[in-house]
Amino acid sequence: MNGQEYVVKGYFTLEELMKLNILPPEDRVKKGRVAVIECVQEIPCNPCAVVCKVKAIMKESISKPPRVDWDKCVGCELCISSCPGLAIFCIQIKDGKGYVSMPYELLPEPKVGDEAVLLDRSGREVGIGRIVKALRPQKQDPAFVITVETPDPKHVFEVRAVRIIRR
Amino acid sequence: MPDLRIYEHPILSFKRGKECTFYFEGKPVKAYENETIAAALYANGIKVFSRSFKYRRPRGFFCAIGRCSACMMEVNGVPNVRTCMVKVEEGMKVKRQKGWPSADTDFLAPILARLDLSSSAYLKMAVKPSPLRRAFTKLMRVLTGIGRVSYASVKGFKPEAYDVDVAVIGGGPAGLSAAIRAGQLCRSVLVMDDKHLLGGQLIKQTHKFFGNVTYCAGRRGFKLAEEMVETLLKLNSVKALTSTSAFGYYPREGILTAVKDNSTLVKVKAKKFIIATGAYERTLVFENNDLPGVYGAGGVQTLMNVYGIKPGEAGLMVGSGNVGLIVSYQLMQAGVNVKAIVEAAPRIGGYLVHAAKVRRLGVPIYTRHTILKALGKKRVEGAVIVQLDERFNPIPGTEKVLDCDFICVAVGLNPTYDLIQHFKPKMVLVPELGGFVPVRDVYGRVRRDVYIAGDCSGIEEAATAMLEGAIAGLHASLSLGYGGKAEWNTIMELHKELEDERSSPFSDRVKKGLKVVTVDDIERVEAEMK
Repeated sequence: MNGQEYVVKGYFTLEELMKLNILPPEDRVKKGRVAVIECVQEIPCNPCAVVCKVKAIMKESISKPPRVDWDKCVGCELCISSCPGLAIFCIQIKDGKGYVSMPYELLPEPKVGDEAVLLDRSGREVGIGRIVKALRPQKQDPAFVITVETPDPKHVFEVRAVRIIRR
Repeated sequence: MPDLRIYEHPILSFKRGKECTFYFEGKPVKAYENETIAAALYANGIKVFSRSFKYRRPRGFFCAIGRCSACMMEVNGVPNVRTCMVKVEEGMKVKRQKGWPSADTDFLAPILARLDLSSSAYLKMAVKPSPLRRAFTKLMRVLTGIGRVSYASVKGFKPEAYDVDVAVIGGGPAGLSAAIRAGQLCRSVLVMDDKHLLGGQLIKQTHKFFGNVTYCAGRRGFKLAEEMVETLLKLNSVKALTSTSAFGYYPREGILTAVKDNSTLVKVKAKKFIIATGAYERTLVFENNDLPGVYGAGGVQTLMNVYGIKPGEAGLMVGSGNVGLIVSYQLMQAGVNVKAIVEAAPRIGGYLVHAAKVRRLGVPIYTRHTILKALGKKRVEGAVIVQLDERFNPIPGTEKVLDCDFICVAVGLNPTYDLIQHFKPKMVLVPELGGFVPVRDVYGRVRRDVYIAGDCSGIEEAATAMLEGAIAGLHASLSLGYGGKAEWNTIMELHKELEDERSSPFSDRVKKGLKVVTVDDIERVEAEMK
């Protein structure tokens, strides 16, 4: 498998992501919201690069994986809902708290203030967070983009899904 | 009775239509007018649809798109109706044909199960003397429950005839794009599909498509289907026939025959035929793989995303290709628990982004694992999975029992080549394309006047099927003298786009297969075939 553990497990470990240079440095994440694209395979696809208003997402050709220019990215979150593979997230560390924005296409319908179990890439529960934003960014599409707040800033590199707790 | 219908869904809203009642073996069943008989029965918890011929084992549906024949029942006196293809009607009378006294309990099944019948056992029984054979054959027909046609039940026999520029068989992504392109140029286009809905398998695709934004990327399959059907039906040149199964082509007369609504014969003469019949699902060999509850992944998608009915509460997915991964995710969206995904290969077959979507929700993917057997008597009650060694042999002692009430088989598709063979193209077995496919040129021509497009020309995906269909539709029109330079340029653009779509390493296999069956001069191949 020449080091490609992820094609056996189905997700990336932090080390793999570091090696692939996919995660922005912590300093950048503290400066402001930034996009993380966890897409490394050659899939002929281009919505993310087309939707980006500041041209921060680059693709060498349609089938090459995208790269994010973290200096250009303004964290507008447009790319999140554009990605057919649900592989784009936006992360930020602010006032010692972590914020992860992600696509959400499940039930129950998310509402601001909802508590949610935070899940990492392998589905492991890593903590409890709170939904601070829930939007339907695309007209005529019911899918949500949500932002969860987590007390642990380190979570921005780990949390990639949530399970909303219904009271 | 339980109600397996989904009333809340994050992406879909189901248009079920008016409530109605039909009668299943004498009992009233609640249904909605946009449901098929099979879907309505399943929603009401009826899972045994028929019995097998030989051992009379219980059978449920498998494909839900009219390919597997496991759901055949007697409807209003007409036997062998594929109930997954026919919509319910108020007061309809439906009954299962097989099993005695009923398909639920068959007294012969336990006896037959004990006999070790060879594969041709029934054929060899009572061969001589011939009167005995005739009597035995009659008895066999009764026992196997093939049914008897009552001519009174047939609505009448009025054939319909069409003479058109282009006839498109199949209303899926390839067929629709072909019909739209041809319809925009030609004087008359006929498109037919054996389902009651146009759109083929697009109508159950709830995920967003990859690809180029200029074409269909970022949009959900069922939305694309809606748009295409709308565009198609606006064209005055186009006539669309649904619930119409093409079943033959007679070269001497140049006539394609089909049956509409199970009752009307349709005869079609066309200057150009475009065949886009799609594909059907493969299954896998394991113990009890015929139990009700073992379904094709596509069948589950149809049930869940078209009719809004849950296949069960907890399932096992066999196969980690894109279909297996996507359907697993869609099951979770419908509120169904996915216990695990098993994959015989040492690595996940589909795109990592699809795998990541289900992994982060906690679904385990076991590579180098397969299903050993399904548990249960009349329906799936569990599954045994096992680890495989380097040579794909099960490793004893690694068996694990999973608690589930259905099993999804997502192990690939075969091109539906039955109809195209009537046109006598040169057929080749190409494993890279999924099975038997015809030799064609770059426009999809398999003969001078016959085109092929989409999955029936080789298993790929909806995006490429749409491009192939568009190319076939344009080329057919051009060779009839419609259109001009602009259309030739569009074909060139579409070819470029096809190349882009196939530019990733995931398409290497398909490209290898296409190389085998693509020729420069199709008319020469046609001449050689004579």
